[in-house]
Amino acid sequence: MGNGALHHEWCYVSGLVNVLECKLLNTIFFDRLLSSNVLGDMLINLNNTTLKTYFTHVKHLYEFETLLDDYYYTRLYEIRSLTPDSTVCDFFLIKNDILNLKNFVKLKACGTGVDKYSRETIDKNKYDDTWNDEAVSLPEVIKETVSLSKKSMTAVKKEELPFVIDLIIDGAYLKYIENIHKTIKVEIIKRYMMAYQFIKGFEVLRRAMALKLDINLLNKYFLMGFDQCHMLRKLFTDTVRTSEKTFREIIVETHCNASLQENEMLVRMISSNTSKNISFQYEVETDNYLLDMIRPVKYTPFGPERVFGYLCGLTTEVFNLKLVLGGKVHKIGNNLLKERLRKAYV
Amino acid sequence: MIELLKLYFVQTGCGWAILGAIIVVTVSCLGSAKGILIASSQAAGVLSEKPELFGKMLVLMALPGTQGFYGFIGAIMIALRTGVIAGHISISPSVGLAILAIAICMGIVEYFTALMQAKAATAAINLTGKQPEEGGRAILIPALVETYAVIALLISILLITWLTKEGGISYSPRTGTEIW
Repeated sequence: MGNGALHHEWCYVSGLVNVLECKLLNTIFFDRLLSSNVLGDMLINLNNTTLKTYFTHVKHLYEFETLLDDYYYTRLYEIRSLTPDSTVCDFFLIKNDILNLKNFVKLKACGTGVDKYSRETIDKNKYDDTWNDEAVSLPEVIKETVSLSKKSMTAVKKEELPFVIDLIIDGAYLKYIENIHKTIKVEIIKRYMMAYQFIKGFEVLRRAMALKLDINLLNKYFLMGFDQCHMLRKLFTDTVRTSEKTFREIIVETHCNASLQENEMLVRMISSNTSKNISFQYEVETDNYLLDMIRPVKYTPFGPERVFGYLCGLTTEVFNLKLVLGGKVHKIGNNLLKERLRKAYV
Repeated sequence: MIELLKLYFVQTGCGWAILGAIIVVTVSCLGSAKGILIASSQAAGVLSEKPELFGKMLVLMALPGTQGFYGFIGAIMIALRTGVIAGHISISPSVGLAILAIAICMGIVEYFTALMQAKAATAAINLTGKQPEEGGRAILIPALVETYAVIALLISILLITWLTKEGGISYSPRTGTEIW
C-alpha cells in the first residue's frame, strides 16, 4: 500500500472481499436478532448466516465471545495473508497489541494487570526482552513506551501509576496511528486515520478530565510524543473553554482535505459531547461517523481501501454481534442494546 | 551496416514501418497482458468463494486481451501494405515515418484501453460476484471501452491503406523500383 505494493496487486484480495461483503450482516438481521426472545430463535437466525459453523447448539451462545473472536481473527488473518502489504490489516490487530502491552506493563509495574493476552502481531516475549533492556526488533514507539513506563514507576505516585501507564500507551498508540497515516498513500484511508486519531485522542482527554487527573500528568505522559502544533495539543489547551468555533478551527486546519460536510459533522458530534460525562453516546456516534466515512469505498473495484472498508465492516459486525448476544444471554433490555448498536457496513 | 541502415531508413521507409509494426504489437500486447493480470486476479478472488461463476468470469477475464490482437492485426497490416512480407518495398522514408507515427498512436490507445477495460472488467466481476444473474449485462460495461480500441484499429488500417495505395502518397518514382 504505502511500501511499494502496486494498486493492481490488490485485485485478488479485493475480489475475495467483494464476495465476503455479501455475507456481512445488515441492520435488518440485527433487528431480527434483537426481537428474538428465546435463545433457540437466535440460534435459528444465526444458522442462516456464515456463522452457522460456529453456532450449532444453544450452549454455543454462552461461548459467543470466544467463537466470535475465532471467526473474526480467522477472517482477518486469512485476508492479511493475501494482501501485498499487511499495514491495512495490522491497523485492526494493533489494538490487541496495545491491550496486551497495557496488561504486560501494569503487571510488571504495579502487579495489577491481567495475565491474559489476546491474539497479537507482536510476540509478548519481545515485551519481556524490551523490559529487560535487551535488543529486539520492535517498533521504536513501543520501545519508547516500555522505557517511559519503567521511568514513570519512580516518578509517579503508586495510585496514579495505572492511569499514567494508560496515558503513555494510549499516546504511543495514537502516535503509531500517525506513523501508519504517513506511510499510506490512499487518501480516504489517510482521512480515516486522522479522524480516528482525533476522535480517540479526544476520548482520552475526556476520560482524563472526568477522572480529574492532574493536567501536568496528561501533558507529560500523553501529549509529550506529539509536535507542539499537533491538533491534540491544540485541543488539550482549548478543551477547558471548548467552543464550537475552536473545534471548527482545529478540525478545518487538520482535516483540510475532508469535505466541508464531513468537518461539520465531526464538529457537531464532538462539541455536543464536550459538556457531558463519559457516555456510550460519544462512542456510538463516532463509530458510526467513521464507518460512514469509509463506506464509499464499497464502490471502488479494487485497492487497499476496498479491503480496509471491509475490515471496518467486519469489525463493526463482530462488535454488534457480541453486544446483542452478550445482552441477550445476560437478559439486558432491548432498548439498551438497540441504542448501543452501531450502523452496519452493508 | 551503415549501408543497410541507409537502405532501410533513408532510401526507403521500410525501416520506419518495421519499427512501427514492432512498437504497435509490443505496446498493445503489454497492455493486454497487464489488463488480463488485473481482471483475472480479481476474478480469481471471486472464484475462490464462488467457483460456480467460472463460465461468466471467463469472458470478463479475456476481454482486455483483444487489444493485443488489434496490435497484431495492425502490425500484419503494416507488413503487408509496405511490401515487407512480399519483399516488394515501395514506400518512401516520409511514408515510413507517417506509418511509425500511426503505429505509436495506435499502440498508446491500445495500451491504455486495455488497462481501462481491465478496470471496467473488475467492476463487472464484482457485480457478477454479488449478483450472478446480472452477469450478461455486466459484460456490457467493459465492452463499451472496446469501442475505442476498435476505432483506433480501424482508423489505423484506413490511414495505412491510404498512405500505401498505388498512385497514392507512397508512390515515388525515385524509390518505387524493386529493391530486393
